[in-house]
Amino acid sequence: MTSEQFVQYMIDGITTGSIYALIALGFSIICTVTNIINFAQGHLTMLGGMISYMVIRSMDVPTFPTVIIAVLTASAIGIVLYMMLKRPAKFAVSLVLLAITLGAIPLTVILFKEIASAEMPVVAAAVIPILLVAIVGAVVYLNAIRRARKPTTVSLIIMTIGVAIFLEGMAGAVWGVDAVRPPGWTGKSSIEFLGGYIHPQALWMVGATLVITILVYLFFSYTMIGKSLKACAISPVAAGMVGIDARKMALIAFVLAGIIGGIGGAVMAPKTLMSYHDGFWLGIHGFFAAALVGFTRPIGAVVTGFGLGIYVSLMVGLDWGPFQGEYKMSVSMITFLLILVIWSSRLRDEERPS
Amino acid sequence: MKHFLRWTFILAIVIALVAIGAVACDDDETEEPTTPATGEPTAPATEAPDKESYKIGAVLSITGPASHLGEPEKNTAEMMEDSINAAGGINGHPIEVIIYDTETNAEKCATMVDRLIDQDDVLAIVGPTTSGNSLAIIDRINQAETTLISCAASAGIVNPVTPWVFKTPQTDKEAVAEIYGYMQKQGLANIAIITDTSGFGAGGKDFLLDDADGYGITVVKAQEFTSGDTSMQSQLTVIKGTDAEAVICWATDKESAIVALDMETLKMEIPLYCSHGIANPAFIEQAGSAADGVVFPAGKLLFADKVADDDPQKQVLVDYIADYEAIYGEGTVSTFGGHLYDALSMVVIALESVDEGASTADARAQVRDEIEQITEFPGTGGMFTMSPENHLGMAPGSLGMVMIVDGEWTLAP
Amino acid sequence: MTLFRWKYLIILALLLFWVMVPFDWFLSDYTGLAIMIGIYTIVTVGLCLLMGYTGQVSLGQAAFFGIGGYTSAILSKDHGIDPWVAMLIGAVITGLIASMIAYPIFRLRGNYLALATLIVGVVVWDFAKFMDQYTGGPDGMAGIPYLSIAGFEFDSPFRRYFLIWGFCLLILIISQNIINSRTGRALRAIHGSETAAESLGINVDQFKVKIFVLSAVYAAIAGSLFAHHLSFISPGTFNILASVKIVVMAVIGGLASIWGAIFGAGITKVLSDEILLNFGEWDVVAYGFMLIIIMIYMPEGVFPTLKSAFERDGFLFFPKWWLSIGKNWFDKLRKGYDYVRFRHQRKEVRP
Repeated sequence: MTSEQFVQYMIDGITTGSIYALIALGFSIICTVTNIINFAQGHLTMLGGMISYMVIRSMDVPTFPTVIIAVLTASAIGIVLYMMLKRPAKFAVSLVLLAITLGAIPLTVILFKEIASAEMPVVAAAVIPILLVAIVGAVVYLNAIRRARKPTTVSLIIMTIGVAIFLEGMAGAVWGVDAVRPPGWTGKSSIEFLGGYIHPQALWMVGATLVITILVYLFFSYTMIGKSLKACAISPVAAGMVGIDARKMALIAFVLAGIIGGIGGAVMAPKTLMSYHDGFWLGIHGFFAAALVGFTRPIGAVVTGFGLGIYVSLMVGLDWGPFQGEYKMSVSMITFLLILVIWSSRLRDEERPS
Repeated sequence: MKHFLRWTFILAIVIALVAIGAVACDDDETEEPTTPATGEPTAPATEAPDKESYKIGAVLSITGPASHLGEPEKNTAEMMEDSINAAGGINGHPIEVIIYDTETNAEKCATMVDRLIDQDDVLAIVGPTTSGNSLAIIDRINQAETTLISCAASAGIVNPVTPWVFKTPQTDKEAVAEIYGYMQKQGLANIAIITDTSGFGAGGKDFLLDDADGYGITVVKAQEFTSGDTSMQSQLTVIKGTDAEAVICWATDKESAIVALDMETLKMEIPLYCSHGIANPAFIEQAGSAADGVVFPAGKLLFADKVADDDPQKQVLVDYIADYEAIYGEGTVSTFGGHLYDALSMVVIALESVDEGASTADARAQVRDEIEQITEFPGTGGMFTMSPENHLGMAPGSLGMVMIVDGEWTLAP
Repeated sequence: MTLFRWKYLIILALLLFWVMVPFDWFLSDYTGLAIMIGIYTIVTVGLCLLMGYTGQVSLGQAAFFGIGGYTSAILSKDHGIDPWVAMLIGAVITGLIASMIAYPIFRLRGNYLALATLIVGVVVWDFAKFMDQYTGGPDGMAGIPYLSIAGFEFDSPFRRYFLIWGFCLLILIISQNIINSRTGRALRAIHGSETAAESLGINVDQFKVKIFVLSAVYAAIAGSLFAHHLSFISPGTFNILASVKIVVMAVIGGLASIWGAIFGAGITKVLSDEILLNFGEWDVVAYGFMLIIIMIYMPEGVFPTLKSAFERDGFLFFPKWWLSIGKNWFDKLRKGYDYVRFRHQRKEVRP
C-alpha cells in the first residue's frame, strides 16, 4: 500500500463514513428522546435524495388512482378494527389525518411537477428536499406515532418499519425503479489532494456532516429546547414535572431526524446515486453505528459512523485473508462487536439502571 | 334437551362458517379475471367473444433489487397482451397475462408459481427475471408439468436440460466470450475484474476467471462489492495499483454507473468494460459523461438500426422498439423487455396449435411440445431453434459489442 | 362456565377447519400458503417468547433459520445423511451458536442483543453467499430431498401440510408447557420486574440465555422444514429484511403469547401473498399502511387484543355485539330514531 493509495482509502472511507454518520445521528436523536428505534431513518435519507432529483429534473409523475383505492381499502379494514375494539372516539380523527398524510405526498409531488418546470437553482435543490422531508417527519409523528393507542415501545418500532415499507413502495411507484443521479452541486472534475482524488460532492458530504454534528452538539448543550430534549431523555417523568411537554419534544426530535435525513440524501445522491430500495441498507449501516454506542450518544454515533466507513475502506485496501472487499460487511461488524465486548465492563457500569 | 339445542346451534354455526369460507373462496376465483395485474381492463375481443381466454402466467421482479430489469418486462407483457387481443387473440381466444411480483425473492417466487399453476390454471409461465428465482422453481415446474420460459441469464437453468424449462437470454458464458474475444482483438493481456456479490455478479466472476486463459488474458486482480454499496473507490484504488490494462465490471446498471463515475473521479485512463446487465438507457443517464467509452456486449436490440436489412431479426427488432417506445416513451427500450418478448412470443406461437377444447393438462403438454419444435424463430435476442437437447436454442453470433459514445449506443469499432 | 365451553368449542371448530384446508373439495389451492404460515409460525413462536419475556429484539432470527436450513440441506443432499438426522444436527449447531452469542451479550445492559443478532444475520448471509462450494452461492441450492418416515415420503404439498402443521402444533404445545412450568413462572417474574426476580434468587441472565437458545432452535427447525418443503434454499430467503419481517410477525401476533404467533404469521403472509396482489405495484405501499394501522389500533398485537375482548365479553362477543347492532337498527326502524337516542335516558328515568 503506497502512501497515495492510503490517502485514497482514507478519502473514500471518510466520505462513505459521513453518510453512515448522518444516519446514525438521526437514529440516536430519536432514540435518545423517545426511546424509539426509527427504522425509517434510512428511508428518509433515500427520500431526500429522490426529492432532490425530482426538483432538479422535473420528471413526469404518474397519476395516483391506485393509492386512493389503497386508502379506501385500508380505511375499510380500519373500520373493522374499530368495530372490534369499540373505540369510536379517536377513530374518525385518526383516519382523516392518515388520509391527509397519504394525500400529502402525491400532492406535493404534483405541486412540484408544476413548480419545477423551470430550472431550479442549486440552493432551492438543497433546501426544498430538506423542508419536505422535515414535513414528512412531522406528519408521520403527528399522525402515526402520537395517535397511537396506549402504544408500547415495540409497537411503535414496528410502526416505523411500516412507515419505512410505505415510503419505499411510494418512492418506487412515484419515481420508478431506476437509480437516479442529480447533477453535482459544484465543480465537475475531481480535486487532487496529497496524491489522492476527491469528488467535489464528497467535500459537501463531509462538510455537511461535520457542520450538522457541531450544530446538534451546540443545540443540545446551549439552547433551552436542547436541554429540555436531554431532560426528556434522562427521565421523561421528571421532565414532565418541571413543565416540559414530552410530546412536543418528541415532535422536535422527529423533525430534527427528518431534516438530517433529508440533508444526507440530498447531499449524497450526486455522488452515490439513489434508488428507491437503497433506504434499507443505508438504514442498517446507520443502525449499526448508532447501536454500537447504545443509541443514546449522538456524537458517539457520528464517530462510529466515520470509523465504520474508514475501517471498511482500509480493509478493502489491505486485501489480505479475511480482510477483503467480499467480506467487508461481516468482518467489520465482527471487529466492532469485539471492540464493544472488550469495552463492555465500562459500558456495563454506565448502562446499569440507577 | 337444552344441551342438545346448544350443540346443534354450534354445529350450524360451524357449518355456516365453513360454507361462507368455501363460497368466499369460489368468489375469489370467479372475480380473478376482472382484476388482472395490468390495471386496465382488457379490450373485449370483438371477433369471438364466446371463446374463453388463454391464461399465461408471468412471475417478474417488479420490486426488489432486480426491479429495473423486471419493470421493462412487465411493460412488455402488458403491451403484448393488449396488442394480441386487439388483433383478435389466438385463434379467436383472447390471451390473459397474469403478472405476479416476486420481490426478487425465491420464496415468494415459488409461492407465486404455485398460485399460477394451481389457482390460475395458466398454460405456461414466463419469467422469472433473475437466475436465483429461476433455479428455485425448476423442480416444482417439472413436477407440475407446466412450461416455464425463463428470462434469466444463468446457463444452469437449461443445463442440464429439464423437460419443462426453457430460456431466452444469452448465457453469461456467451457474454464473457464476446468480451474476451473483443479484448483479444484490442491486444489487451492483463485485466482486472470488479464484480457484484449478487447471483448475477458471482456467476459472471466464475466465467471471467475460468475462461480468461483461452484468450491469452490474465486476470491480475479480482475485486468485489456488495449491491447497495455507495462507493467503489477503494476497490478501484487497489486495481489502479496493479498493471491492469482494462477493467471489467460485472454488475447491473446502478453499481456499474458508480464504478464508471469513481473511475472518472480517480482519473483512471484504462478502458471500462461492462456486462450485458447495463443494456438499459438508465445507465447512460446515471453515469453521465463517465459512460463515454464504456464497452459492453448486448443483443442486437440496442443497435437495431445498424443491423443489416437482410438479417431475419431486423423486422422484429424494429417493430418491437417502435411499439415499446410508442407506449413507454422515447429511449426507454432495453434488452430485458426483449427477453420477455421472445419468451411470450414463443408461448403464443405454441398456443396457436393447441387443440380446441383441450383440458388444461393436455394444453400444457401441447404447449411444451410445440415450443420444443420451434425452429428459426427470429426473436429480439437472436434466432431460436429449440430441440429436446437444447432448451436455449439460440444461434451463435447473437451478441455484439456496443460502445457508448456521447450518450448513444454505437457498435464498438 | 359457558365461557369455558365456548372457548374449547371454537378451538375445536378452528382445528376442524384447519385440518380440512388441504383437501381438494375445500381450500387446496391455499395449501402452499398454509404451509408457509406453519413454517413461519414456528419461527415466530420463538421470537414471541424472546421478545415478550426478555424485552430484547432479535434481528437474526432469519439467520438461525438459514443455518438450520443450510445444515439440513447440505448434509442430506451432499452427504446422504438422513434428513431427520440432518435436521437435528442443524438444530444443535444453531443452539450452540446462539448460546455462544448469548452469554457475552446478556452480560451487557441495553439493547445489544439486537446489534449482535444483526451481525449474525449479516455474517450468515455472507457465508451462504461466498462458501459457494458448499452452499451453492448467491443463487442457492436446489434438489434437497424431501423428508420421509419409513419409506413414506412427504413429496406432495398435501402430505407436507400435515407434517409441518404437526410440527407446528407440537412446538406450540411444548412452548405452552414451558410457559406453564417453573421456567415459565420465572420468565414471567423477569417480565414483571427484573430486579425483583433477581432478588428472589432467579438467575436472570441464565433464563434469558435459555429462552434465546430456544428461539434459535425453533428457527433452525423451521429452516430445515422450509428447505425440505421447497427443496430449495437461497441466501435471499434469510437476509436482514427477512429477520425484520419475522419481528413484524411476532409483534402483530402479540408478544409473550404462544398462539399469537399463528395470527402474526397468518396475517402477514395472507396480506403479502394473497390480498395485496390485487394492488399491483402499490402492494408494498398498502402493506406498510396496514402495518401502521394494525399497530395503531392493536399495539399489543392481534391475539392479546382479541383475547381481552373475548374475556371481557365472552365468546358471545361476536354474536352479541352484531346482534346488538341489528337490534339497534331494528329498534330505530320500529320506533323511530328519537326513541333509540333517548332510550337509555328513559330507562334510567323509569324506576
